[in-house]
Amino acid sequence: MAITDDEARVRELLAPLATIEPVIRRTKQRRPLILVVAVASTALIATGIALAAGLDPFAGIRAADHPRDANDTLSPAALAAITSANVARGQFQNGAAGQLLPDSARLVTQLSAGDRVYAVATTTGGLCVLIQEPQGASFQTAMSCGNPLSQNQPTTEETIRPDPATPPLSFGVARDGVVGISFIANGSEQTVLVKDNVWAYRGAAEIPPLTIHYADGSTEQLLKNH
Amino acid sequence: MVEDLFERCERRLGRYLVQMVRDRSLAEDLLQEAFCVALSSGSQLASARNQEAWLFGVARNLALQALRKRRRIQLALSRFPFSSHATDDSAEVVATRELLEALTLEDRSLVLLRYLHGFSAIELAEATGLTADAVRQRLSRARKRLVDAAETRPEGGPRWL
Repeated sequence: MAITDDEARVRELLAPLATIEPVIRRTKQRRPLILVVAVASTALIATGIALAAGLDPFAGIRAADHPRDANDTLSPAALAAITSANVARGQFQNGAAGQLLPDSARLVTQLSAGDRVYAVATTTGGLCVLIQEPQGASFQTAMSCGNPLSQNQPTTEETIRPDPATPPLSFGVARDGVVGISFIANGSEQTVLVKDNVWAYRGAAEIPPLTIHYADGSTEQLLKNH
Repeated sequence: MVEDLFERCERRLGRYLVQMVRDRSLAEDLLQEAFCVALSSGSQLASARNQEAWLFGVARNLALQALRKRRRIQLALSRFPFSSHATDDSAEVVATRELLEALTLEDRSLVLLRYLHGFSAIELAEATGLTADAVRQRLSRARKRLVDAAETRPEGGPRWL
């Protein structure tokens, strides 16, 4: 196969992916089934206890801390998406990621462009951030899940792009006390204010490491692998 | 024989799976599965002309199946619908992943195998069941798409919400 200019260019374009650290096989010894069942049962019981004890994945997100009302009701499409996500999460990693709890959904804020940002808890005490982006008369939904916010992880961060013609939307839910987020985008430093625990920026395909601005005037750099 | 084969190419295979599916947990699952498929393949693996290509073909099929399944349940907007908030990917890696979005999953799998893992069109044909000509055509089309996508990457200024 002769090497063309295109081939050289493609190799150059793909080169960053060659630096990705590979995964390797997990331990070759399978756990006995009974142990897996026992571990799963323990995790389930622990989860129930944790949730019953009030372990709150919304802790520190004041905008999400309110009694459920009509604004928190998810669209049928979002509910269907959660159902599908729960099926998928149940299939991966023996369901260790937990299930999203649709009734826990709380509207955190609505962006000026109409996007509605929700916080949703999981059965394992995780925090999911769900966004419904207006598409004509309806909404399209995207979400991501992770650990609850903490001092080490004061904000979530996601970038979504509904279609190639639309600039990407980067956004996150930040803890109380975070008043702004800075980052380099399109060659210059940008600072966005946090309103109702949410920050958002449209126009950058990738948001590099963030600088967190706190209400007391202090700042902190948040590395990507926090 | 399967253990030897895995010893030789486990890291490359593991890297390919992460490149394909992005999600490290899923990639780990698929690597395990590829190993199981290889173990139970019997004469199929033994009769393969290029065993590494065969194994990468298995991994590719598993990745495509997983991605299609995930895509069916995926929410329309999300790049990483079930990912955690944190990511170890560098900006360059993320930008490259964005670029690969210009390709179909099938073409993406071939491009990665050809240009990052060094398989020839003939080896890819054996690994995928396509003809070598079909592989070359797909690669040619994919190259054009990738280069076009790279040249038309948006550079417009940001828009505040």
